[in-house]
Amino acid sequence: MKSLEKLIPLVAAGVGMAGVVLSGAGSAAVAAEVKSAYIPCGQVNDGSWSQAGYEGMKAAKQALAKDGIELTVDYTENLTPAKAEAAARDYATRGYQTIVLHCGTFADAAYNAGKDFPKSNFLIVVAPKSVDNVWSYIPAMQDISFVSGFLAAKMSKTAAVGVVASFNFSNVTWQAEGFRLGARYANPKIKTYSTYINSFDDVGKAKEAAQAELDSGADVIYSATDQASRGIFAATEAAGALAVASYSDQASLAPKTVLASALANIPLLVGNVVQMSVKGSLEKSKVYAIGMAGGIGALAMNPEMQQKVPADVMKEVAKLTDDIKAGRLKVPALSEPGKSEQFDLKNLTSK
Amino acid sequence: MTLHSFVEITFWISLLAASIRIATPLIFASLGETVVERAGLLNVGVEGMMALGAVSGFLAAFYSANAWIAFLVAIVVGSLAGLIFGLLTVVRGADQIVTGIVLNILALGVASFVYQNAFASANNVPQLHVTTAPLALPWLSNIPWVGRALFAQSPLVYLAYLLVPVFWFLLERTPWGLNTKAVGEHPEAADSLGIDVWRVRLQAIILGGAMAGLGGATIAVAQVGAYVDGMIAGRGFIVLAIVVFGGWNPWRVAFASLFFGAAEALQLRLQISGMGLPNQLLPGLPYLLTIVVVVFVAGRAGYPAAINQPYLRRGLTIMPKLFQKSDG
Repeated sequence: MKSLEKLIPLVAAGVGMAGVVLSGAGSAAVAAEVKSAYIPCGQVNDGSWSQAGYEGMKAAKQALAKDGIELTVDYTENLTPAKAEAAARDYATRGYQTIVLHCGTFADAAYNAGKDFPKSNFLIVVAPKSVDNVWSYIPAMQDISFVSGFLAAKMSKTAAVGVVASFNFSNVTWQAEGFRLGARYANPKIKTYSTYINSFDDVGKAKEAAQAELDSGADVIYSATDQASRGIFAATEAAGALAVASYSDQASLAPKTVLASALANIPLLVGNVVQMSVKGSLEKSKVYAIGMAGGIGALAMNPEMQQKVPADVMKEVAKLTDDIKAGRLKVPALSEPGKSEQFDLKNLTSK
Repeated sequence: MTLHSFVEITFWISLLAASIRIATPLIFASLGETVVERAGLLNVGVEGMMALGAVSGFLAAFYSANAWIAFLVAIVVGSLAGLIFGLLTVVRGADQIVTGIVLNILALGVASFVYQNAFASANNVPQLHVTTAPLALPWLSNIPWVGRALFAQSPLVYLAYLLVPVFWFLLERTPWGLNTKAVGEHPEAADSLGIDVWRVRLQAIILGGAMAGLGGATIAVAQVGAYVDGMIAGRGFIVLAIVVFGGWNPWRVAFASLFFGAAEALQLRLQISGMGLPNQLLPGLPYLLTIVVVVFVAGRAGYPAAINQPYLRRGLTIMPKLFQKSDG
């Protein structure tokens, strides 16, 4: 049995990918079938986070089809972290080659299952590290939130802007601090605030958090939350202030107050890492934190608000976007609230 | 904002105004729960009832474009949820805690299901604008310092001001209140005096459900203009603590709600003060304070004696046979 277990990866490597179920061992066909599984937080048609990831899975399937690889995509929805681990193990047992855990709370599930099923690749979103056959992929939103902060500072009449964020955790904090740093980059004297509400959905608390920042003089608020963003829009709209949404284009939810949306392009991120996983080109121990240089992060202006933004500001935003994409300006991942206030702006452009 | 802001009056005024806003839905739900517990019931399902109020209120506001119709619908839906809880626990004698927990799970699921099915793309429903705008009361809002914080608020805030003395009066100064407290303390004695224990308890839980529904709709309709799954975010459980903290007295319950609101408003402002306080601690501050108060201040207060005890008897008058407990 032991020797057989050793043999399978060898044969699989010969085919070009690990963990393929060898129904007809020996007949190493080139046009191979690879099985992948998708385990999101919510449902694949939620119009939000879980759907975006699923679209990435389908994009990977299409791209791989051109290379003669037939990827099947199965999914299991709405699981608790414990059940997600059971589902991941089940898929691995059944020979799934790539198992995508598209939920921040599933990190332990991925690491645990990864240890016991070395033949499968486990991809886990927004996790701190990549080990062996478990890879973390992260939308490095601080790039686009930096651009948003720059725009916000240019649009602020009170020289104060703020962020309302969900949890002080990993890329959410990067995002909040990126926004504050971008605002300082536009105006070194600007005041920047951040508030964490410890929730993705508490719209009432998000509104009060935004109101507290408005009370302190801020007039542009960036939302680094999920659905709770609606509370932020309610506060900024009532105050005649502006909001910047994140992850998806939310201008249509509150067209009179949402200035722009910082898009994450989750489908592109998931699609790319899944393709790499299937082709076996993921690098050992590398965390795939992909920012604007890798196509993750774009600013979608609200067409109804566009005329309020001066043309030269839009030009500056475009130039900043190019600089970040080309790597001439590097936005740091600051993982502690307030670190952006101490950051030396000169370090942004120097190598 | 810096440390300096704390000596500025505008800081304290905005803090007071925010405390009242945050407290308003809690005041509604906890006034209702006060009556429920005084009648000897423990409704752990407040959270779910608030969610039902939020979703039904939002949908009513969406289709009627009238905030007051929305509140009315939320009150009716909350009452029905209360009635279901009452039929199960009062009439059937089911365990109140278990029933409350199960109703919570059911109500949160139903709220989500109804919302998702009402719209083709539930995440793209625009913000509503029927939200009740602040209404500055003449004279009162001109009181120096606190006038605007207290009297330039949403009309629902004034309703909360009004309901606190009303609930106190009902409980402490009317026969209805006396009956409610009697069935909560000693249902057998109340029964022997001819008080219909089931009727009084059912009235209490229907009122409790109505107030929870109004509390949920306050957030969804009056404050935000949107419904989101999970938006009640534990307020229904905070309400249970507030009622204990407030010693089952409407005035003190309202004060306890304000205390929680003030802690929340303060922690949000401390976060942006940049004072270097640990960011992990601040969001938990209102909950920590509530626990501390409940344990050390309100800990000696006693629950109504007959709380969580079903009162079963034969020969009842108000419910059809179906709901009667069999003699065996």
